[in-house]
Amino acid sequence: MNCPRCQAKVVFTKRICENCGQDLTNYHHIVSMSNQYYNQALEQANVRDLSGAVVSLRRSLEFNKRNTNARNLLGLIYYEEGEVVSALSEWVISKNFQDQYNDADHYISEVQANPNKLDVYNQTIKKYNSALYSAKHGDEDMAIIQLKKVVGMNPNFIRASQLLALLYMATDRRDNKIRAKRLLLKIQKVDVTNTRTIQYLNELKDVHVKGDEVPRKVAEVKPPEPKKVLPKVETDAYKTITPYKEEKPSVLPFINVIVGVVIGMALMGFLIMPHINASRSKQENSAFKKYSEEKAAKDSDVSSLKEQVAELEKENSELKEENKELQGGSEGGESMKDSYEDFIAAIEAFQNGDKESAAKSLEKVNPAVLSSDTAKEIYDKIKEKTFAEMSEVVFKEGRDAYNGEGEYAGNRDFEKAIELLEKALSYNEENTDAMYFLGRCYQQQSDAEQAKKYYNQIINDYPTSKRVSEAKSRLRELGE
Amino acid sequence: MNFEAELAKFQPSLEVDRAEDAIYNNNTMDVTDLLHSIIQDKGKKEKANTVEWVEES
Repeated sequence: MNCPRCQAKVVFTKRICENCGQDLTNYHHIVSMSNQYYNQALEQANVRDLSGAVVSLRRSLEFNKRNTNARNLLGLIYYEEGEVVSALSEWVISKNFQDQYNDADHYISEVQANPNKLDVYNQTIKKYNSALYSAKHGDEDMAIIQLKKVVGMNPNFIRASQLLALLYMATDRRDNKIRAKRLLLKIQKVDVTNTRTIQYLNELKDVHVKGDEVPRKVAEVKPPEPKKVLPKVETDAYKTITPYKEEKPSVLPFINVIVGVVIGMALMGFLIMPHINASRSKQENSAFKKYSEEKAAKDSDVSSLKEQVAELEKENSELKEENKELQGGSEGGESMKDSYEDFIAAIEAFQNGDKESAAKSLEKVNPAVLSSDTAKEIYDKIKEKTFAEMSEVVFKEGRDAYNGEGEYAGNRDFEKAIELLEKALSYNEENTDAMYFLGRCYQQQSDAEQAKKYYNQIINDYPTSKRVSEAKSRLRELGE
Repeated sequence: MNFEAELAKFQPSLEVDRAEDAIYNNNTMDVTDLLHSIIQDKGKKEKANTVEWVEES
């Protein structure tokens, strides 16, 4: 403590100031009284007797206005009751009296750290004052509306809740009285011995709400214990017991939520998502398998249908060919009908002794169409007896064309000769005369290769033929 | 309950704009001030009653 005369720092236990010699006995008593009231206020605040604590603290400050512990606690109680500006004022005054090592620093910075909250508190105070003005000027409805907002924004604002309860009670409506009682019971938990709250609750004794037991508890409050005397210790050593500190906004719930979300996402990623993906891929695999099976079945059907189509087309073409043969014959060959007609004509000509006509008719016959063996025997017999003679006849005609004799007298026609000689060969492929003259024709046309072919054919295939020596002679002429 | 009387008991709450005035006007005298004043008065009286040394001529 400081000496009231010279303001020098003096140990609390000393009775005389060592600096100026002032007797400090009275001053010591005064400071002790202030501390006693402060201790009493602490005990009252511990049981939420805030109204009683405020009275004790004010008395403590009346003894010693420099008791910063008492002033800080008073500020805390104001803050708890929603009187934020009053609380800040007490802390600022406390700071003024004790610049260093003062808890007020912490409280002020705590409030100023959240400007939005401070602004909300200030708005609630302004609204309360406005509502009070409205109520005093007969506009209770407007006051109720404003006070509802105030209580919503700052539920611990005791004065606002009390005024709202009073306005509710003044309406004489039962539902409003219930609301009033609820409000009062709520603020009684903040300040259990508030005289005005208790008085209003007594007025509402006949109104019952759920959990309505608080007034009885108040009635059972025991008388305060005998006052305790502060131990005589150094002021600097004296530590303020301030249980009513504003709860710091905890970040733990927020961190817990984030951790929970992260764990949930991890569980989702590690446990649920693989299962979902597996089931999805399983579904896709089964769908793909089904599709593959269907496709294979369709491909099989298509290939079998293609085979059927090919078979049918083949059968169709065979039938068409057969039909064509029956109707008029195939390409490059005599039809069955024509062959039989020519065959019959050949038989008639042969029977009439006209071998040349018989051979010509027989030449047109396709032996493949002759189905019966008898017909084939007749065909072979007529062919044997007519083709050799016919070959000889045609050969002679071809030789005349080559030599320019007979019908071709004076006009050698090698082309015609070749045509006739080849025809003679077609009647009788062993006709070496025809072969020789074909060689001569080609030799005359300077086609040595064709000529050699026929000469060599005579020499090689028919060595006993009378044309062999001539063929050799002609080959020598050609340089063989 | 007298509503008007009860209403009259309610006082406006201290707003931020007026906090400065409230702080500067907080010059209430406590008992220590009173004691200090008494001590000062006492000192003045003692000083007044003290006979100053007069140098003889």
